[in-house]
Amino acid sequence: MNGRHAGNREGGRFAVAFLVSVVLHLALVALAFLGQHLSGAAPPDPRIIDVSLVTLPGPGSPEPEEPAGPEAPVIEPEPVETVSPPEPVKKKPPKKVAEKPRKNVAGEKKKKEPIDNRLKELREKVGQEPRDDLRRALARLQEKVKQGPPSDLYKRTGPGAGTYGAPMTPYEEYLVRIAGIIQRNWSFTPRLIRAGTVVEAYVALTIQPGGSVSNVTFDRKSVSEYFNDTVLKAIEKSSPLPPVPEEVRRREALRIGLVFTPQGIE
Amino acid sequence: MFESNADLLHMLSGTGPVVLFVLVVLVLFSLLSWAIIFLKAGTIGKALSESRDFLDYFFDVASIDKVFGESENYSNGSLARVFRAGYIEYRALSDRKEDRLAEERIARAIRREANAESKRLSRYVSFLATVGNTAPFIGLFGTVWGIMHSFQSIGLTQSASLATVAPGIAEALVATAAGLAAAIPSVIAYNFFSRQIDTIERDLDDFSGEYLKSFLNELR
Repeated sequence: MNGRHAGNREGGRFAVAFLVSVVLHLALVALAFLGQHLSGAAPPDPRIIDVSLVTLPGPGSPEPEEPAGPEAPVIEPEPVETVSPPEPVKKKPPKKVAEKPRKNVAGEKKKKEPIDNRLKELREKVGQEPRDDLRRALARLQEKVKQGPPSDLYKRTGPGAGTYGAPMTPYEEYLVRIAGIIQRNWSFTPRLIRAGTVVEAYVALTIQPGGSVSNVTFDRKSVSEYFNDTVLKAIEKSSPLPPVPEEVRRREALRIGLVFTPQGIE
Repeated sequence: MFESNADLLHMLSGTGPVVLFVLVVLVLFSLLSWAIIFLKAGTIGKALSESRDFLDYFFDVASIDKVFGESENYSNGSLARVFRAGYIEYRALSDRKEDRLAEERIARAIRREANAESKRLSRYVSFLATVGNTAPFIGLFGTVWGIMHSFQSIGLTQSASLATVAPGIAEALVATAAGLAAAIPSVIAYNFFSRQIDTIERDLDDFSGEYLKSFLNELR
């Protein structure tokens, strides 16, 4: 009897302990959620450096926007080019050839003071120029984004492009048809694209009269390499496309442009 | 505000059925092991402290009848329980004056109670050892399974970028984390309770002889 009583008592204790354990676990889970909530929702995103191919104004830039009057002397390595006496090359090892002319020129024409002044000027320029450059690059990027499609290939007419209710031209019908085929062959998971980023790829491709696809180029790549890859794979998978209808065929091959977004093909 | 919470839940909901099953098993292990930890912390703690108090009283008072009366107050103390078992046997034999038989019977009663007490204290403790040994492996199994599926999906998406690989692996690693979270407290508690039970068992061995002597003195 005593043993049974003791057993019952221990069973009761175990039930209480189990209940306490459940409560503790629930509290722990709640604390974890609450901790995240209190510590500012999501953990701070790690620093991401996006590298894009932007040409900054410089020696290779296409259009120097500001007349760099006083900055002209920047192209002062001239003395280096002009002073190339062959004699020092004979006397000294070839490694020092590049340095020596400078020293010689500087030693003859300019003293230390002018060099210091020039150094100061250069430092000032280095301190100022990058800001202007960055501003210009940013402005150019913003303009580019505002511009819209990179070429006429992406301009649409007919239904859904302003003229509401108008019948589709054969070209548009063909475009819709091939967009549907590519869409079906296109598989990508939107979860793998960073939230908040605008992903859009402008792809131009040539369709031969028989339907085979060639010369696939990105007029504008999206920021996600994964997205770009899936787009290319979808186009490769869709080739050959249906033959180009005769009424659409202007020349031998048809060059079209498609805009890929996570929502679909435009 | 609740984006991160949603992310955590989303991450758990994104795991496959096997990983989810592993997680459920590990949570159950954790619940049971913590229940045992709470239960044993109370039982063993009381057994130790009441045994010490009872021993102090036992050596202070000469009459075993008085000690027996006081032992009622130490119902959780292991040494008090063993003493009570011996005393009950001694009372049953007090009419008989056959010393040899009485000594044997009281000694047997004390030994039996000491064994029962040892079993009572160490009940469920072995489960802690089981959890401590197996939970990390169960978690690891879940992780391996999750990573297998993650690699499969890499093959399907045909992209090995970090964005493709990382979410699957993060989901899978939850299982290992859960396994370790269940195992670590269990191992710590098992070692702690084992030492305390060892101490009590040693006390029982040491003082069983003392009890027997005191009962025999009363008989003579």
